[in-house]
Amino acid sequence: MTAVESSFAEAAWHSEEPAVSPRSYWREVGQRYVRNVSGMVATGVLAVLVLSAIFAPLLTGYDPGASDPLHRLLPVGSSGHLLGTDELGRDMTARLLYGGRTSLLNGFVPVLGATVAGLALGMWAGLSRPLTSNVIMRSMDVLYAFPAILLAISISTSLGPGISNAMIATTIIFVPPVCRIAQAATREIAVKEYVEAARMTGAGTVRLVRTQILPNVFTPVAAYASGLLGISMIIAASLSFLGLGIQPPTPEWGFMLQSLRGSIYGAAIVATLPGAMIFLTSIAFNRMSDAFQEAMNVRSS
Amino acid sequence: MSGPRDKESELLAVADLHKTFRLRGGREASAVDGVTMSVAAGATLGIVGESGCGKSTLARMIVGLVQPDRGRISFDGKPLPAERSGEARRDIQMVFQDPYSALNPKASVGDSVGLALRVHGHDRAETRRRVRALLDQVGLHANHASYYPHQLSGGQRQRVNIARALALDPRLVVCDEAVSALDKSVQAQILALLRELRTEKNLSFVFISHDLNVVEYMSDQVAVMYLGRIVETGTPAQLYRRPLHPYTKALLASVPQLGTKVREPPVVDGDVPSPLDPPSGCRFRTRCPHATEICAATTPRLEEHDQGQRVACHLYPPQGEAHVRRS
Repeated sequence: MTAVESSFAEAAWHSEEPAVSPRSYWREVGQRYVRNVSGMVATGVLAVLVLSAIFAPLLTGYDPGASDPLHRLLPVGSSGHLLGTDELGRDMTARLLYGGRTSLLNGFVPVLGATVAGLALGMWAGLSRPLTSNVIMRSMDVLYAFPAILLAISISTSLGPGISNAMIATTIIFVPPVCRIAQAATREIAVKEYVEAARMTGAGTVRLVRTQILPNVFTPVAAYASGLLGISMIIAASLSFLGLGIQPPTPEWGFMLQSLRGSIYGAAIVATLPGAMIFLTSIAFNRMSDAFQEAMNVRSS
Repeated sequence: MSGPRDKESELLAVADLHKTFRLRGGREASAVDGVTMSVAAGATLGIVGESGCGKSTLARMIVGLVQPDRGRISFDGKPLPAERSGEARRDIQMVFQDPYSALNPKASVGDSVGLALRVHGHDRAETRRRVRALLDQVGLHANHASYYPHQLSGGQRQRVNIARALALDPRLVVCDEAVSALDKSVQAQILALLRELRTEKNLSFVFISHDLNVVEYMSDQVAVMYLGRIVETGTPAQLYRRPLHPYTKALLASVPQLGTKVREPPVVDGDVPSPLDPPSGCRFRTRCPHATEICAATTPRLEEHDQGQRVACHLYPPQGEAHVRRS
């Protein structure tokens, strides 16, 4: 018997030092993301947009708010005004650059806010008893029942016009879908064997959520939220277009589109510039989100 | 299963354990129905049975993941409370079946193995040192601590699971189908590792499997479960050479053997009855070739038949009683 035992013990192989380097899940996602060409192009475009919005004062000498009634609606390519001027004679280059600040912020801030709120509510609902869970999820359904843009319009109307109210309205309409995804993922993960194993150690709820549940719920939520960036910017632009978002003279692409609308026959190209920026940015956001999701989907466990 | 003499060395004793799951629509599924068993210190109890026979529920009750409806679990002579203390958690650990879903994909091996140590108050440096030692004990390299589950093979993952179960120096490890998801060759390695650890650390095991060969290789005592009840217990030698219960016989007959030319027809046919509506009396009677009226009327008790081999079947009247009747 002992002879058999020891031969078995020898047969049990002892692992060598692993040859490859350790890679976490997010590191693998990053490596796959970097290999996606169209995703990287989109990321490059967004990086240029973000950097030019941040460094707008260095890129143009014009004040985006300074009007010049003598040089209204100059066409693209005019000397001194590379992208022309708007209906009040303000330099379009400066307005588009500075406008990018607000528009990009409108893309990021509501998505970030809704992700945090949706994750918290969704995990709470996913981990609590049926009554609490139902109260949370049914109130989300009530919000979900309205068309998103209508809800955004009514919330920002009731809050009053202004950029921060528009962002709050956009955040609120994004919370229900994020919360749903977080809740479904939480319920799925809470019964996994690794969570049971962690519960068996006697770990408290906070530690369980932090080390086991949140890192795994975050994956599907991040994938979904990345797709909201472009939509968020468009909704904020729509609210501004309707006069509910940014207030003049602060430049913002949606509002610029609205105020240049009247000049579409006089200076067609200048009037479409803000729209082109919105289009370019949201396409880049969407392409980036797709690449991100592709990078996350290919996984071995 | 034990006389008064070996009561002292009894590490885990389970008495009359019941668990019924309430389903939607008010229906009830009886998963475990009156299980009594014990594990001696340093010994391994194997539990065999088909899927759905309550093996996993029993395992989960032993480790405290599921609360029994009725019955007592005592460890080291002391009954375990429903809310387990840190001490009880430390002593009884579990190795899960699926090496894939048992490890958090977002946590490094070191974090998974070290979690229990961190929870039980060890600092980072101490946890790190212990995790490296544990990985070495289960045949992994200490540097595997910084790797992630998706970078490991099934066998390596199962070694990590074992390391995690050993982190708190338990005295009893419950293995719920711990090798079922692995390739045969890897199974052999993991089983050898478990046996090695058992000798080294004087561990007791509850080893649950549907694989009769694996249970035979691992166990000192084997319990056969059918639909939430233990139908027969004994040493592997007793059970495998001379099975008494018709279900045990059927189980053994169903193991494929090399060299047999013609497969004999199965001893029993039909499916396991639903635990939602278990048969009255002996739960095996619906598939048993020897069933009579008494099987439907009364539930056979697990009685000693011969030298510690116990069976719950009306075919084998309790020897004491039979003796009394004859005289």
